[in-house]
Amino acid sequence: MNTNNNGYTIIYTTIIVIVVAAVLAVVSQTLKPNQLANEKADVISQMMTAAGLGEKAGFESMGNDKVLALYSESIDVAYTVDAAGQPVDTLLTAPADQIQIYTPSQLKAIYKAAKAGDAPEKLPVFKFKNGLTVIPVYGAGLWGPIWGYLSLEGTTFKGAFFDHESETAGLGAKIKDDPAFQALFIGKEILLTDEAAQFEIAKAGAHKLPESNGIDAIAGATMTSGGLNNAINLWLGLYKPVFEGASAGCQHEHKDCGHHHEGCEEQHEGCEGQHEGCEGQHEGCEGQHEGCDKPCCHETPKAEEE
Amino acid sequence: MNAKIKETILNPIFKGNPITVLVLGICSSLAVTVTLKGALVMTLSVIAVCGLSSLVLSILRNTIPGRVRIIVQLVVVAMMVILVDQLLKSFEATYAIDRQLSVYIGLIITNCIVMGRIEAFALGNSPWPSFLDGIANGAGYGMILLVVAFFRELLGSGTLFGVDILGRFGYVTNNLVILPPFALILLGCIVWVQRSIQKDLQEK
Amino acid sequence: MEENKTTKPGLFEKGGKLGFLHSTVDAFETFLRVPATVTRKGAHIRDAIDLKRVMIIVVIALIPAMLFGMYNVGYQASLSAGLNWGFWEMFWFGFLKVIPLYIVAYIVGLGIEFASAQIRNEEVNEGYLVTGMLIPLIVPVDVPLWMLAVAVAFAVIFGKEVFGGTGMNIWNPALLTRAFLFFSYPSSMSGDTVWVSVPKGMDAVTAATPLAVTDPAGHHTVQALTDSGWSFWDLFNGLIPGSVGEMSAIAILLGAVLLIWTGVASWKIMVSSVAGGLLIGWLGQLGGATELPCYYQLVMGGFLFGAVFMATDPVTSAQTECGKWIYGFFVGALAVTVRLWNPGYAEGMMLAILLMNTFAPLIDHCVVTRHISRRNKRIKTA
Repeated sequence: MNTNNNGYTIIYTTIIVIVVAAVLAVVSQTLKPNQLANEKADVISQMMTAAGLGEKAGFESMGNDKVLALYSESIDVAYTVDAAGQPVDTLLTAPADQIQIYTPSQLKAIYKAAKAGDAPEKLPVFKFKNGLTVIPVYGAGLWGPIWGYLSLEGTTFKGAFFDHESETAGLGAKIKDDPAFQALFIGKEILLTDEAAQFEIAKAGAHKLPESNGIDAIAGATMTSGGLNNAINLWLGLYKPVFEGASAGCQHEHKDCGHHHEGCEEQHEGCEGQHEGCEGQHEGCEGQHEGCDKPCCHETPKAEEE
Repeated sequence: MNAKIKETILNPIFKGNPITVLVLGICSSLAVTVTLKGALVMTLSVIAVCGLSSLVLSILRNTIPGRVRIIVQLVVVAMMVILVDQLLKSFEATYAIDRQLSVYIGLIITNCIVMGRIEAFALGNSPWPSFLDGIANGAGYGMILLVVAFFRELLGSGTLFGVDILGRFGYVTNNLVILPPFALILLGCIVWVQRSIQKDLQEK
Repeated sequence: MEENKTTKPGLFEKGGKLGFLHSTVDAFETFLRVPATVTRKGAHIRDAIDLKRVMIIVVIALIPAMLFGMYNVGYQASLSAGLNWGFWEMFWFGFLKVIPLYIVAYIVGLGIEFASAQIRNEEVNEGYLVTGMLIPLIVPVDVPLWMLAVAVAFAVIFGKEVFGGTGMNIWNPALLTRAFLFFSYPSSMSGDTVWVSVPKGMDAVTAATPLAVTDPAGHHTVQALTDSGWSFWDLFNGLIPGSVGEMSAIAILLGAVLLIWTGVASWKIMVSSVAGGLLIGWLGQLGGATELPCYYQLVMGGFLFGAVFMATDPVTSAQTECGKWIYGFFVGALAVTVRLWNPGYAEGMMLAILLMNTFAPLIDHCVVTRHISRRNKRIKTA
């Protein structure tokens, strides 16, 4: 057989390409649900790691089902807010197969819009029963995207978990692999006053980092650290109205709450998450708007329990 | 015949090792050897891609038009790589490790060993020896990967497969070991050892 | 005795009873002096200057920097811990801190040198005398001794012995030791807590080096230095925190004078690297990367020390005369470039010299090829 004439070559390559494409399409379709489930469990375990509910490795060995169940158990409420910090949609947190989260690809869309200067339509907010609010960040590292989850109580950081697509192993990859780096975020504060310099991730020793929001960068990973810094500052900027609501709304003598009753309910649930003591007040709260704020937002909610 | 097959399997493991003798696949062996777990998954993936690609292309070898030979090889290898990647992503146990290896699974296609063995062996031999040759070369590659990863994880993180080994003795982890250049130094040492044993590899 | 040797191999000669120790015995026999034995065949030229003499001159040139380094270690300790030590107390404190570094550097390095010379059955070279002299001067004084030992072993084995020993190495072994420490144990090699050693039982002292104070992320101004209490002359004198022997420009210049006067080190490399550093420092000032006048670049960090003692290493620098100018210029220029524009590294001298070590053969090759082609042209036109 002459395998070198043009007709044969064209037909042969066409067949090969079609066969390969078909095989890959079938495999991709069959495996898709599994992959999505894996991704979802991965994202959820990252959020729960940030929220201090366990360690990432522990979630990985737990298996997807248990991770989802634990999430449904420990999440208080998940919803999206608009650019002004007002609630838009509720995200389902149960049952396991209907849990709604924001995957990195969805975060990427928000990131791109924000980069282009558009105000985001929806930003996810996850409030856990232990009182922590988890928000995502997404940005560009050295080689590819980096993203992660920050957990806060009010305006104070309580945990962080970062992930990346292709940062250098042993250097940039430490944002994910080095728990000590992530632990640096604990106790830092969001600066509601200065949007541009929310965080400063830089090499210590170079000069004094600010106490409240300075993070010692990863040695040898200048670009990744800088990218993470930009990502965090960008997203904290997007979420600023939410945190202003969280701090200002509470301290300003419940006036905000009294204004809009529905908003109160929303905020109330959120507030509840922040202080364990509130849970008892759930029903009572809807009735009394002013009372709502007191147990929820005051510094000493524990008193209400007694 | 039996001796020949034995030679096909054993040669790539030591005497004709793709990394230390043919000096192929150096790039990925620097990148994925920070942890043993990553190196192991990479090893298995390369063995699978190498073996299956060699097998398929050896079956097709008499029908492939000479002028588009490389492209056909590329398409088949690419398919195998994507299959491996998709499979790793879809199992709960391997999802995290696939994420950790990130682009390097996809980059198996650029690993010279795969295309090199297809060109050098699979296109001229029947399927069964070709399959064995692919697997053996993948194994030869993986063996070096695991040796390098063993030292890098042990010295760089004080652990093996993520289990703390040296840390409990107060070992101070060495950051240089985690950086890619050290993998090159280790590879150099392995080549050194091999050439001391196998004198015929030494250039005059 | 002389006749004996011609007929029968001596105890330690090749073929003798303990002939396998030939290298070791020879090394000690010729240490610092020329023995009466001469080569028995072939013509040979004798000169007063040989490798041993060259090395000893470099070692002597390093003594001012070493003594000053010891004093400065004590001075910084006394200053930061608020002790009012006298001169000898400061010197004694520094002496006790620095001597262990020397002991470790020499024992480990020479041990490996002797062992590998034995294995290869070659003479032990005296190159390590200088390397061992340099190493303690370019590390923070408090570097753990075991780290130093590991780094010296790495540098001597992988930087020197695998290439064939003294004279065959691509990189300066002393700098390789520092690079190994720098990349392996960054927390012990950089930051602002490693530079000042205080007496046992006292809290560690935070003391940034002048380079750290003026790092790109910080404030690139003379003011930043003044705030830390340093004037240009402080930097020039060298009574500032930093690696043991790198700080004092005066001590280094004393050594430089000796090296240039004896012709041991190339003045071209020193001059051109200073020129390269000044030029980039000046451009950086023009471009707004720094507000420091360019001559500040010379007195901060290890610039002068590197330019005088490291870049001029005859083995790893360029060999051709024209190549020396190019090589030196790039060493200085790259070092200041890293300082000004790379936020990751405060100091760039080590990286610049190692990089230019790598390129030195290439520079020589280009210079030689250009020479040859120019001469060819001349022949053609003639």
